[in-house]
Amino acid sequence: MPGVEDWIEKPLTVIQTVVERFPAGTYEITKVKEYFSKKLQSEEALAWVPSINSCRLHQLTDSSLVRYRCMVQDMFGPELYLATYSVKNLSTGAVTFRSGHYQDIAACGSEEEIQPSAPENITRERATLYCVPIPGETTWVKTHYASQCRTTVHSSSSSSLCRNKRVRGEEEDKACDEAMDEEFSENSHNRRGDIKLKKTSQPSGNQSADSNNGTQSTKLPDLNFPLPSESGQACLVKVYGEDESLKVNDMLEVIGILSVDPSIADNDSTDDDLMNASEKAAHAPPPSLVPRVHAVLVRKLSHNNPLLPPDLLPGNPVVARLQAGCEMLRSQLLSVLEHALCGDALAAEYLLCHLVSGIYARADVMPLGKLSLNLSGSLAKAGLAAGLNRLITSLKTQSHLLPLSLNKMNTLHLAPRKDYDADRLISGQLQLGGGTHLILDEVAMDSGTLEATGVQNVRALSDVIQWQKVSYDFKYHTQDFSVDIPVLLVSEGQSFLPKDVHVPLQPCHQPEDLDCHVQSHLSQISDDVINQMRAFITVCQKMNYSMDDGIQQELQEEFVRVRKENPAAMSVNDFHRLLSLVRLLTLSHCAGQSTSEILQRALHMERERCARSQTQQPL
Amino acid sequence: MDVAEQAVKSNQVKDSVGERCLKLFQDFLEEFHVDGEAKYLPLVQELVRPERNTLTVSFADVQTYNQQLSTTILEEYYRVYPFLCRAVKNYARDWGQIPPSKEFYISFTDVPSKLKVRELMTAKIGSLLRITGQVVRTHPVHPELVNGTFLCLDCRTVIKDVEQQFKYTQPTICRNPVCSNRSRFMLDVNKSRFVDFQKVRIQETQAELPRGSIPRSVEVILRAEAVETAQAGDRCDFVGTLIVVPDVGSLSLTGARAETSTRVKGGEGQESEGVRGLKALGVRDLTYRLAFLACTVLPSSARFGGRDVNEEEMTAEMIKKQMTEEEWQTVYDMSQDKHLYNNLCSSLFPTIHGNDEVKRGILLMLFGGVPKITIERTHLRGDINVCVVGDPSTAKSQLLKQVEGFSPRAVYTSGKASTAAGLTAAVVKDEESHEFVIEAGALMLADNGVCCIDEFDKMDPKDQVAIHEAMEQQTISITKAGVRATLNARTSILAAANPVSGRYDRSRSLKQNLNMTAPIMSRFDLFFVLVDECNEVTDYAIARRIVDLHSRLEESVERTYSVEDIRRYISFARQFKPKIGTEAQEYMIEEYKRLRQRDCSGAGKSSWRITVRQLESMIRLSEAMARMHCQEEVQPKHVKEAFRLLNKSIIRVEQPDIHLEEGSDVEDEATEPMDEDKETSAESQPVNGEASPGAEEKDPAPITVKRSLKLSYEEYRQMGNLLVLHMRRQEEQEEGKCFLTMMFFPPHSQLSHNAVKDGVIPLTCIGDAKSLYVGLLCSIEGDSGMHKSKLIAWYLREIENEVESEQELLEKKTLVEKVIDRLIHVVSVDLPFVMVHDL
Repeated sequence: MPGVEDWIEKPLTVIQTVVERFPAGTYEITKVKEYFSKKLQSEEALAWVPSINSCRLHQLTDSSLVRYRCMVQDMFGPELYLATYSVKNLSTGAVTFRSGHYQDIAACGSEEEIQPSAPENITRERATLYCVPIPGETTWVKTHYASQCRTTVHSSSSSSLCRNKRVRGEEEDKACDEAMDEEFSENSHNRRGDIKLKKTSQPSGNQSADSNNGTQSTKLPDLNFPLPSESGQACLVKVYGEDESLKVNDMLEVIGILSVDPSIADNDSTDDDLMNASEKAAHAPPPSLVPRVHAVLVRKLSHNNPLLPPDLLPGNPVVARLQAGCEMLRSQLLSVLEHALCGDALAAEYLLCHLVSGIYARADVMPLGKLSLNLSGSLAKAGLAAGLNRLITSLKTQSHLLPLSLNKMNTLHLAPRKDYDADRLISGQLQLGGGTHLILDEVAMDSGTLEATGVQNVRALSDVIQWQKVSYDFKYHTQDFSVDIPVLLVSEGQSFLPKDVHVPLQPCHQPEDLDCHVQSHLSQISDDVINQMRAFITVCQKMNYSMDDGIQQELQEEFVRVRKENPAAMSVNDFHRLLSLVRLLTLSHCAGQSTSEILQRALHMERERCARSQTQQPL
Repeated sequence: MDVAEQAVKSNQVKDSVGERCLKLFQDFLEEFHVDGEAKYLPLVQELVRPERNTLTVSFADVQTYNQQLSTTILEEYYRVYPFLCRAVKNYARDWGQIPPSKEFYISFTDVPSKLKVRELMTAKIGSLLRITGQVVRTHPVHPELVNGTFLCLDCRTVIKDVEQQFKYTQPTICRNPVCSNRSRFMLDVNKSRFVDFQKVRIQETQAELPRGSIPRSVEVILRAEAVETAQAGDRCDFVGTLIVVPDVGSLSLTGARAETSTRVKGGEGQESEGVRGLKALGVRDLTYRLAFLACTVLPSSARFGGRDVNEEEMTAEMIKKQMTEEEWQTVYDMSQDKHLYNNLCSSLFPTIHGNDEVKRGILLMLFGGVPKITIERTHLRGDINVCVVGDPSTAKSQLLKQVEGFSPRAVYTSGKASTAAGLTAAVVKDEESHEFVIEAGALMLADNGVCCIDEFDKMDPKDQVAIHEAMEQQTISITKAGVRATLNARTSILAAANPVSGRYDRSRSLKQNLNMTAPIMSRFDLFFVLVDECNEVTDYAIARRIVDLHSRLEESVERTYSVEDIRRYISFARQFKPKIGTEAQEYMIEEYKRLRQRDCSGAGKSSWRITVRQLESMIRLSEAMARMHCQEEVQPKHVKEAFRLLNKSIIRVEQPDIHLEEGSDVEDEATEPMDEDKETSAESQPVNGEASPGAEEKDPAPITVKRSLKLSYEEYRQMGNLLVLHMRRQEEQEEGKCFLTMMFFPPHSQLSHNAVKDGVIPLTCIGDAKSLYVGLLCSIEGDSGMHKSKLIAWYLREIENEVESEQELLEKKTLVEKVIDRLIHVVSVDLPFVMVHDL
């Protein structure tokens, strides 16, 4: 029986024994999964598995068990591998069989030879996913996850360093390591930039062509992060027996076997015709840059909040505790929001609703549960977007601020597009995981002409806001992908993009710089309280919600009543919005059932908001 | 030397299966006769020409000739392929002068088993398959070594005919028995034979793509005559087999490359297959790739005009063949469904409330009419264009989005965001090659599909004109920068537009409400007006629907048929080309005449000039109806529905003031199922007559005389609603709540009231509610006149305080009588505009 250390550090040996016990050939993958999920049942055990997200790659040992929190950026074609292969010892002539699961390279001594066409060999398929760290993941999430991890860089890292040293024949790797040594905390974007400066003196001719990720182009393969400022480790995750359940943009936690053996790069370096250079860079990058992870266990993340258990069941003690103190938390949170919005209580309520919004279902093409919010007013000029971004990044797990300048709109490709040369999906800033807040800063916009790309980008943004989907450009056709991105629009006047709710801000005071204002306020809140708020928002978001018949009746009557008085007062869209608002208000109370009071509250909010918009209109 | 040759021969293992196939296939080529002539003889004789080398054989022929042979080919295609090629060679040699070194190839068409790109699994390796994919990338054509001639570097012996299969294969040992050279050989390029070789990459088509996945792609290897037949952007069918790409490096080996590759360790011979170069460390990559070796490429539909295998030529039989047993059964069941029309509508748009006529129109659009070519070679389009005009927030965009999501070849575009060039086509200069290329616009991308254009009215009038041609001629012409081209754009257009003043103004005509030129308008077959109107009853139903949508999702999105089923059914039904039967013809002529007459007599009332275009629309709609029922002939009932839709959409798009005297006139229009209605109308005739002088009916302009009997649509509706609501309340008192519930939850419940016949009941909540009123009112009249008088009395009491004189009271009385009559008799005709208000 292997010890704890064994299955973390030498999982392949463990797998080999598991597989050997079940020679039948078909169930071994399931058995391996069973074994590991049993081992990793407790949080405790999980914490001992080092995470790629919080470690540097050279601190991890090849073919050890690792964790990886990521988003599926691209899905490559399936790959055939030898599940069982026979090896012949050249000196003795003895033939042995080995398992090829969860590895890239066949183990084969110098005296041995693999017999590729032996009839006993079994070939299997595995899927390859190109994964990137979750885009827009906020700092507190990263640090929390890192602190949960029990493993410090242990002694074996020196040996892994030795292993890495052998590779250093290749210049690239050396440069990479040097750069890594220089300053790790600096983001990889800059890092790659450095290398490029060192390595390529060639003028940036194609740099402008690749406007998406300005600097990361020529020499080193672009790691294809959706957001240009991102750092972290991209990985090729090989999945076994997961069928078609994993989709692009899914957020995953992968527990698997790291494979950074330099000979992978060696093997791939044999020049072949089937792949051209750019294709190879995308599909078979050197493992030092993009390590392979052979996934043993894959779990889809329903949320990315380290403060909460993975499954938010109602009976969970953490959830129950939060629910008990929810009214207090809610008012605390509301006061934070109100303070950030300079005392505008109504806007704060809407912002709270917006924060707990998320798609819970789709009625055919219509997404349900979204509430895109447009905050406008003179505050926008005072850095409202930056302030809100600071606020949201410290409360939510993922967020991204996108200033909508004319230049950016005309040059960026927000929606991902397929590059058939490299046969991969070039990411865009709209390729975001579920629940990533997108803050659009319209203040940055200036007058000018929107070119073809600009029009496309505007359309992509309105598609996200209205239909919650992004059309990926496949050159010969487009393909829609559903997303769940709550959008917050910040503008001086009403935004030119569609929105569900427009709230003109009525601040009590006008700070010079809203960002500083928010920052100073946030710094006054204790870590414990803010952590509770973070957990609170996620829990609210994931609450199950239902309406009883009474409320349904009330809602219907309200609709009919309003329309009877004035048909223009409530359109079908207004009614949709009202229903969403009622739901979100209910959720923000951490409750699953809407009540009459909440309906009245929602109606009141809507009335107040409409009154505001009307008075603001003439301005 | 003889000894050497002997040695070579004994080395080769004989494949008995292959040998038998060779013989059988050669027999097939010789013996397969169609109409007494050997079908493949002329084809083989053509192969004598130096540029030809591939014989195309229909697999269906092989199947009919010899079941066993065809099964063997299907299952072990890769194994027997070289033997089949040899059979062609033998057969060709029998019939013509063939240079001995010439290689022949075979390609199969009509292969039955079709797979999705995603289904290409290891288990399929080696068998004959057909896949469809979009070509996304092509590589240049290379020569590939098929048969090598080597020179032993030790003893200078020439070793001929070393077969090459995907990898560079040297002889295992020198032929010369005394020379033991196993590795030092040189390829004699001049004496070796090569074949054209090309790699293309194809991608899963949109139709096959599971939701949320990135399209898969697969490399396709083309050889011989198949090269250069596929171009990037084409959608093609490929026939061939799945292979494991062994040594990727040597796959496309050219003679020159072969030299460099000799460093691959010799002596490995057969064993090295499938493995990348051996590494010094003794480690190997364990992965392989799959590729598709195709022998036939058939464009399933080209991107631009040009080469185009006409989808129209597909027969229903062929579609049927592609379906599994189960799929066929569902299609068959669907075609037998009595309520197919309504079930399809409700399954297509489960989340959109009401708007049944629009849904029907769109459904028929998806089926489409039959395109025709006249003797003068003029193309008459079969596609149906639909325009939805409506107030903001009336689910127009949702309708369009839904169609886009549903139809496999649909493009959604917004008039605001796209120029004519973006919609039709543009000539652009390619940045790299500086050549002018034609960039497809939305209309062309939707060729054979639907082009959904939102905010059609926001489009520049100039741009609207640009799609003129596309709408009628179904082509797009480009003359720019030296490029002249006519491109196919056989697409149905589904447009949505907002009225000029933001809201639909009922007092004005459709034309005045729309910012569209007459020619464009006339190219739409159907116009639907969606008005956001308040009506307590509909509002309730809408509210109910939306609340349901938000709370009980699973139940509210209820479909009789799954999207997949409908899609399959439509593609199947679209293969029918119904002819118009004589009966239907006569009916059509009658209806058209009537339309024309009313159009003339109703001077100005109908905004629409009934022209031949409307007749064409009627034909198309009737054909679509017949197609929907999978029938070969258009029958009068199809025409009737087409006519009804057309009537709803064109003539009644706007509601001018209600002429109560028109009653009998309108009744003629009432569709026949309302038999009951006709009877009651006879009863009511005298009432009508009393109120209005007989001459009235002939005079189409009663404005001055009978002012009081004319009321605005708005008033009429208010009155009607008032009456109906009152009755509902009464009913409630009598029957408790049950009536109300019936009203709101009867989507498909059969409320068979004697006055309401099947087919007239619009099967939605609202529709039923309405028809129920009709029934109710009828019953009031039929059962006891007392009810009617009671109702009138009640109404008069209601408006008592508004009435000033006795004269006025009398007037009101007549008016309310008329309104009730009209409600009873005409409501079925009015239903369209009632329907149109929902949502």
